[in-house]
Amino acid sequence: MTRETDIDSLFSELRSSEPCIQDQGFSTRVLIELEQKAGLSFFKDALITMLFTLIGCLLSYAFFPIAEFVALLPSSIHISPMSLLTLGGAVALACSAAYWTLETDRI
Amino acid sequence: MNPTDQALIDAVVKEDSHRAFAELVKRYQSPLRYSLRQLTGWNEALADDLAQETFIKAHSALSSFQGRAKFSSWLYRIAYNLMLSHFRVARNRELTGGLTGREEQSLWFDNDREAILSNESLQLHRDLAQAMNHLSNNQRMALHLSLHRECTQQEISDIMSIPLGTVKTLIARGKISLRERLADWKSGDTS
Repeated sequence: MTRETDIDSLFSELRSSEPCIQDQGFSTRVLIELEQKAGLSFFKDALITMLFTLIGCLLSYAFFPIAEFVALLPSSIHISPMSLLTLGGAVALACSAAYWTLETDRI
Repeated sequence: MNPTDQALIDAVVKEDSHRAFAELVKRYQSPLRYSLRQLTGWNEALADDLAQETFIKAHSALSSFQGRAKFSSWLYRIAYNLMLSHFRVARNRELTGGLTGREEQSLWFDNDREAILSNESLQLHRDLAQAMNHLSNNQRMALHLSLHRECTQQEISDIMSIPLGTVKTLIARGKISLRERLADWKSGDTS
């Protein structure tokens, strides 16, 4: 027997004795996994979100006292160095918080 | 009479029939899981995970199956890509301080040794899987598809998305490496 047929006959033996692997719940696990993955499609999910956002906007428009809220706003704004400094500080704090959140999420 | 693969695929695509897909899974689970065991050094857990992932991917991509190749070849193609992806991730994990390849391999082999003791009849299959584990992923896949699944070189080329010439080279070199490995075993070196 040549070396070539050594390998070939080994595989031939393996082919003829290949075990039939019992299912033992494998198919069921695949189907369960499929059902879990199916869930809501992206479009259905987006549609539901948009629908509830729209309802929320309509309710807010109907019940929110816009005129009274507008009356509370100041008619003139005074910009002082202190207010600019406070605004800069607030923006820097918000940026730091956003950056930290993103980095933590990535890790 | 059993429905053909194509009839089952049509039922899944057109009617979203889970029963038809379950039938496909039942038909192909044994050969696919066996092949993946052969390709992963007889790591049963990993092979079953990859097989499960293969069927899930196949389900979501079934509408793109055009029936030009055999369904089994199409499944092998998905499984092969998943296996490569798994080994790539494992390699990256190894580089970033996870288990080293050798540690992971010896972990598999330890599990295998226990399994071998419990089931002598599968010893030849496990031994060959371990010997094949020393070949490259491509050589292992090409050799398995050619010698065990008796696929044509053109089919292997399609499954692995590589040129026909490369398939021939992989099989030839794979046979040489495997022969050397088996010769080592005969002379008592089982490391």
